[in-house]
Amino acid sequence: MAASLPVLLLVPLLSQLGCVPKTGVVSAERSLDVTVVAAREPMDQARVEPVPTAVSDGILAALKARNLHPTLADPSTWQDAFTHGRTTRFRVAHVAVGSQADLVLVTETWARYGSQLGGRYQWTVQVTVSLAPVAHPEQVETSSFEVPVFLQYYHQQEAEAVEAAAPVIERRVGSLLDQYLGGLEAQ
Amino acid sequence: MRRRLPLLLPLLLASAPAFAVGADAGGYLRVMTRPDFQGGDGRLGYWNLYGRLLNEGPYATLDLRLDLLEQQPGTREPWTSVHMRLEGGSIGNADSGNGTLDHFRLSQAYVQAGDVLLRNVTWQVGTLDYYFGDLGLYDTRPAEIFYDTVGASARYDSRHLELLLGAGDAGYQIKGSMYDAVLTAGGALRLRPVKGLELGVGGQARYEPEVPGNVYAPYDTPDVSYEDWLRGEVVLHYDQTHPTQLLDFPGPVPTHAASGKAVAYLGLGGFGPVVWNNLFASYEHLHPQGSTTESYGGQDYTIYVKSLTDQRSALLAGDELQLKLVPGRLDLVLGGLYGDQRDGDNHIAPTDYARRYWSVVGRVQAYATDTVHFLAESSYANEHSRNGNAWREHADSVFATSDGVPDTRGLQYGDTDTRRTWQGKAGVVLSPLGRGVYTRPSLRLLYGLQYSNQNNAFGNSFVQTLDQYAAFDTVEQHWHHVVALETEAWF
Repeated sequence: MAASLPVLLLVPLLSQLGCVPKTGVVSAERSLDVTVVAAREPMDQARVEPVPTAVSDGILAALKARNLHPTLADPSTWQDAFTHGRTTRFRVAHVAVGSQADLVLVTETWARYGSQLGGRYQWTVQVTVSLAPVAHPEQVETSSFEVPVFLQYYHQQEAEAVEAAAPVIERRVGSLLDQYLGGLEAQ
Repeated sequence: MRRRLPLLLPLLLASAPAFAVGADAGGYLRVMTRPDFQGGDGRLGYWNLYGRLLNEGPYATLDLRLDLLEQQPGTREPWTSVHMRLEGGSIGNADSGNGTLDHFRLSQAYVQAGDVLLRNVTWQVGTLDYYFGDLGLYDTRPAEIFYDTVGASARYDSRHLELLLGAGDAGYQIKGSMYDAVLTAGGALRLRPVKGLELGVGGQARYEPEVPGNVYAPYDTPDVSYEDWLRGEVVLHYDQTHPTQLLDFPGPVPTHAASGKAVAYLGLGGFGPVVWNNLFASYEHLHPQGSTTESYGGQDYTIYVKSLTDQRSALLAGDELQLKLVPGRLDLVLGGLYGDQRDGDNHIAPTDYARRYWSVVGRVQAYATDTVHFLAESSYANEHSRNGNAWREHADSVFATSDGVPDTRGLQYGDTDTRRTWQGKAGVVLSPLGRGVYTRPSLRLLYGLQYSNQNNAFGNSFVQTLDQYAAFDTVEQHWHHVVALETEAWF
């Protein structure tokens, strides 16, 4: 049982490490309104869908943490347009045209199945996050990245793959916001 | 909205496509250090029947995919991609192989093409490995087909149905350097009638035809008894019964060989605390062996053994239940595995082809924070040899072979036909990506304890002999402790 002593000693230490405070984020000097659209493009159908709730919740949390006031746009206001217009700039412009907020944040996602790997189902989630002032949607800032996702069960399909990418998406949205708000502060 | 739209026209015309995809590299990594002060090789027990945790060694996989023509969402355009997988069970400084490349292999290579000729159909040419799912606690895939096959397949996938049909050659996987074509064909059907329920059946048949003259085709050497073959005394007995006629030792008689596998799957979940339950089963009639060699009187004789090895079967069933006992705080995973292997030709010697085993494993994981978890796992396993003693309970068990009687000609080994193993494991897990029993990467500090009725029931370098002139004494121990610092990641 002596061998278990190091484990027992490390338990309280590691518990404390788990509570290490996160580094600060860049907050907007004044609360800005943000219209948020988060879309998922299914592989097997043309119609664009909203992302799973866990993803949109994470995006809203990233915005609120930076003194922004997000509003999730009703899917009926963008689903048809997003289905027919498949470029990021068109979509940002479409949301900006219908928004009374200060900023628009558009997140586009789609998931692609790869293969069975080590007992998991390997997916790649492609994400494009775009942030633009409503008044000048042509000044859009875009961040594109891929998130590797490994799902345990076959019944977990595209929506679950996008959902599993939620923590990374939230972090990358936060990073884009920090860059943008940091730039605003510098001005 | 219309008022602003003309102003945005230049912007829209300058738009770039929303998505672009190229090459992906993914993989799997498992590396650990488990200094073993009891003379072991760092693994708590012999194999993952006792749960994969602390019983598996290092492993690395690199999976590459190149999209030659990328798949686009919402379209039915043809797409194609190239896949290759390198994997092996050795990593520098982590095991005796020290990560040398001869421990790795290009285990999978194939090209996929989708939406060509038929909608929702993916064509695949190359290796065809396919399984319904995985028992995570055991790292085992009972319902797996085409593991041995290179060929072509077509997979239709829709919201409620997945159908796979394939065919090819399993000769290189089964026979290696003694290659002979083993034709194989089969398929799998998976249904999802309602959300939270999946059913699957599948199978694979193999046929190795008679090819007279091909030295690696199936043959039988006539009039060979199983016991003579097992002892390596086929030629000796022939010489005894046919004095001075060794030149007339029977030649091989051509024949054919067949084997096959059937698999089934039931998955359900998404209600109450049940995340998901996977139940897998498979029954395989194993492919017979080709030949072995005996040396007698300074000359090598090849014994063809198709008929001596064509009655082997393996039944395997496993279940894994994943529960969220206290959401976000405590998860539980329960697993069970049952195996029954029979050899209709062998009733005299214990082998891995004639045994029955079962085990149960339970793992709980508690979440102190998103990233700091506590893990505890316990398992109990029972392994039974159908053909007599197969394990040593004591260091001096060489005196109790063959049902307790010393027998220098005995085919049994050790002093028991049943091995019973209990393991307990506990420790701390750091999980940067959050909560979940199977969330990876995880960095783990674990302590494991094993009790087995077998003496030194783990990989070790202890002497087995009781020779009075041996430089080292035998050691008797049934408890085994391991402390492990390890990490595991899919990437």
